[in-house]
Amino acid sequence: MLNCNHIVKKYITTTAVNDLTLTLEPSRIYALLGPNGSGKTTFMKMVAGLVKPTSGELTWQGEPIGITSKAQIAYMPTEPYFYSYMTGRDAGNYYKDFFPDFDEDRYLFLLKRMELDPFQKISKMSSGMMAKLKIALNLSRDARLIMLDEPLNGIDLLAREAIIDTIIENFSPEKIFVLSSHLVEELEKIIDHAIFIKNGRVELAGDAEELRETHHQSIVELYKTIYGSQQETAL
Amino acid sequence: MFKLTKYELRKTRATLVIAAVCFAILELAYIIGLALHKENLAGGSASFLILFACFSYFFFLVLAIMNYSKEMNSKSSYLIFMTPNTPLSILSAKMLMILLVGLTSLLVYALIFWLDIRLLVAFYPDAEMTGDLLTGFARGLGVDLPELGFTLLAMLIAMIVTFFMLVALAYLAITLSATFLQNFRFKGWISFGLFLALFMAITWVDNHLVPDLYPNPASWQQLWITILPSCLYYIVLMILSTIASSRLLEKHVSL
Repeated sequence: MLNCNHIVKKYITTTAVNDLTLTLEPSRIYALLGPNGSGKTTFMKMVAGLVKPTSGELTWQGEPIGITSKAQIAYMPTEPYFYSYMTGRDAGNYYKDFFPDFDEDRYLFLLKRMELDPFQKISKMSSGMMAKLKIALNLSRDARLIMLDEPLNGIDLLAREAIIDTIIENFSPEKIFVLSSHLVEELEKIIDHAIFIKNGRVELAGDAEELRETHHQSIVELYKTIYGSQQETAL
Repeated sequence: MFKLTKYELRKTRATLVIAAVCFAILELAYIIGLALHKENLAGGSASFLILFACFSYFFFLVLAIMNYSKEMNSKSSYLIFMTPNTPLSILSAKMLMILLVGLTSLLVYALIFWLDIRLLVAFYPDAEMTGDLLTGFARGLGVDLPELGFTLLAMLIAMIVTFFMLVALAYLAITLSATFLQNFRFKGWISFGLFLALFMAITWVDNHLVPDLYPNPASWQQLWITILPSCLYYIVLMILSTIASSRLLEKHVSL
């Protein structure tokens, strides 16, 4: 279980995460929703141990984020994060060397399924191919918590369905999946919990079905209601 | 940590291969110069080989510092900091990689130097006589060759210790820029200024407070005793800087 208790991440001119409190429980697929700059990525980076909160308490299985949590949490960043020399195969070997839960056979299977050449240099891949590779790498880990930041970015419509199927196939009751996206329609089909983040704090969160019933709106409509005025102001 | 070192080596492979190819070209030119009795070619390439070996010290220093700086300013840092490794093992792996590459280069240079002398003697038998003449001349001046060897070894050890103290200090400055100073403008310049200020302070302490037991050492034993306090001082600084960088990364990392 992941517990975030009043976590804050401040930069000099901005507060990326502002008093965020939430709990993530196993056997759930969470959608982390919000426009760019709402704090989704900073939150996930804090959970992955790449960013330290300015204040607040962040624990995984009761322990602060550290070596143990890093071995059990998979995080897929939006940006390309591989070394320039790496091929798909090299990236797989890297994960195999450092993450005991990495399943190489599964990785090679996913690469084949996503029609990726393991010997192609990652730096030469298109953004769509790279997105698929990142998903294959992270879903080949048997991590307890898997966070995918914008997993559908740069991926065409047909491939999106294949990726959503792969995500569902890899889900099991002992796991927590967190999917961040602004492509809410694509996620609505598979998520069972939604967390709306606005200005670095949780605006609305809960069971997707309950949210729909309580507010008489789909998740997409709720998204528009919550962020609509903000988007208009921005425009 | 050894797995991390393996990837550190892999990351720098291209740079090291380019350096090795340059060295091999110079060596080849030296051999061709000797074989064809083209003294200008052999002499010129030998001079460049010596320069190359001396330059390696600064090359490895820049390589170690630039690699870390580049990593902390790029997204590839996610790859290493997402893994279940402590910041201390990450930093130690980087230093171990440079130590391994540096020591391997030193061995290669020593071997090549010995081979080049053998080749010189093979192509120019008079060179051995010149060597004997120089040895006799040195003995005549009262220079003991084993003592010279120990003196050079002491200087080499002092250079290696200074090298790693500088690397650890640079890592601390870079880590500060990636943690406490992450939101500052000109953080790169600030961290460079910090590095220079720390280096000057360390040198001042070394010159004024660290005891100089034999200001003019008369033997290699005295020289070793003279450099010992400075070496220990630099080793302590190296350890403290590495621990400080590691603690900063643990508590304030923001990639």
